[in-house]
Amino acid sequence: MQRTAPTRLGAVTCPSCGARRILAEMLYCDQCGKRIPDSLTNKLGHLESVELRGDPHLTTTAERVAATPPSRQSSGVATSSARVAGLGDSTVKSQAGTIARGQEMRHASLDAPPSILGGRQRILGASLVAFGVLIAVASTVIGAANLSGLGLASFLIGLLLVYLHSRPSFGTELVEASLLSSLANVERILRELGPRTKAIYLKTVDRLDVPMVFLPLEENPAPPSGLNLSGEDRLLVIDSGDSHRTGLLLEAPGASLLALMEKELDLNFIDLGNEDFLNAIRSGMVESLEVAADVKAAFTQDGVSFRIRDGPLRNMSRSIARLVPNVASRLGCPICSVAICAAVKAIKRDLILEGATHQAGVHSVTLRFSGGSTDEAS
Amino acid sequence: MRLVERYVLSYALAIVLSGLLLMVMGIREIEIYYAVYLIEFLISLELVASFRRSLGRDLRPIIIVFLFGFAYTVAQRILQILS
Repeated sequence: MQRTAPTRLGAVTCPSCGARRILAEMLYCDQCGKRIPDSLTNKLGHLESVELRGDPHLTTTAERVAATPPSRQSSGVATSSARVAGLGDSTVKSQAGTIARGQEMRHASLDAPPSILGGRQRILGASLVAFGVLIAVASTVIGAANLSGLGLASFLIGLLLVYLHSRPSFGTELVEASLLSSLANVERILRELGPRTKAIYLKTVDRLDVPMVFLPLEENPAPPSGLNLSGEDRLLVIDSGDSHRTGLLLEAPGASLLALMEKELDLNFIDLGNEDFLNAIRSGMVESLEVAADVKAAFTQDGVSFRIRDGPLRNMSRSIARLVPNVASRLGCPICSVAICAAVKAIKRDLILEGATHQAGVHSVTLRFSGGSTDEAS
Repeated sequence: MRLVERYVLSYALAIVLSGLLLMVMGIREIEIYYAVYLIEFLISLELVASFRRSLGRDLRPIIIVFLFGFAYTVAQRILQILS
């Protein structure tokens, strides 16, 4: 695999002839005529988009950020940028083009989740506690006992704010950063093994089964209704007698999120019917996990379709669609995959992922029942 | 708005409104305010915890503190009656 390090921000060298490229939209080198790898053009795209924002902290190198003494106004940004930039450097060295340094810096510095309970929450909580105590004391001193009720209210709200602030919380950019490398590895597996087949989400039999996805290595327009790979524990399943059963067996990207959602909702999707499923998936993804702003699901005779509107993780979805397109379109991004896994558990049938797209903040997922429509199956 | 934020805001709104209502009604006993606030806290928490069980678990220390406070006021009232 060719490895190319950026020569300067906004420019990488052509891996074939060494010519410097600075435009993201140029797919071929004008010196040697060879195609620039997608990973490098993607990287240029991210770096240019960062440059357009005009933020000096985002258009500087990691070394420069680390060498510059932080000013009073920019110390927080500089620190986080330098830290993430360092991580980005190692990523670029080890896996050219999987995660661009500029993109990591952008997420670390600019995309803090909007929240009314931000950094001032503790100060607000402490102020309310102090105000409540003052009111209570004042009401005792001046003999207005009914004012102490409001003082108590203020005290309790302040206490709640301080307590909730003391719990650790993590930004969406951290979620994205911790996820992308793993997905990039899966992307490389898909790219190098090169199966162009459709993924099959396998039905779960037991309540504790982890949803798995099977990617046949051979073109498979009409897979059987039941693959029955529940006993398999291998990544690469090879069955010389049956080409349908030869392929990659992966844990679904949304399996862990589904487990968390079930834990938060205190239910198991395997127990739900179609009507309850629609309510549960919406409550789980929108209210419990807060990974989506809205979820719509439609059951048809042939399969299921989802339309998921992005929530706080829209930047992560966008990055996944751009950086790991094979994973996003053929296995589904983790957000799409949660919905698919839940559907597989509720319907108790294998589902073939016909397509998963992410456009303008909306995930569209189309699934088809494996082995034919509901009527045929029953 | 996030679920936790909605929870805090709705609880704050509820106890401020109920506090004002009790004040207008001329209630002077702090125990009554406390009991009403505690009931509102538990109801709002139960509504939110149906979506997120972990929030209920996380706020358990606050519930225990509230219940200790409630037990204290009840004990005080019992002592007052007995004396």
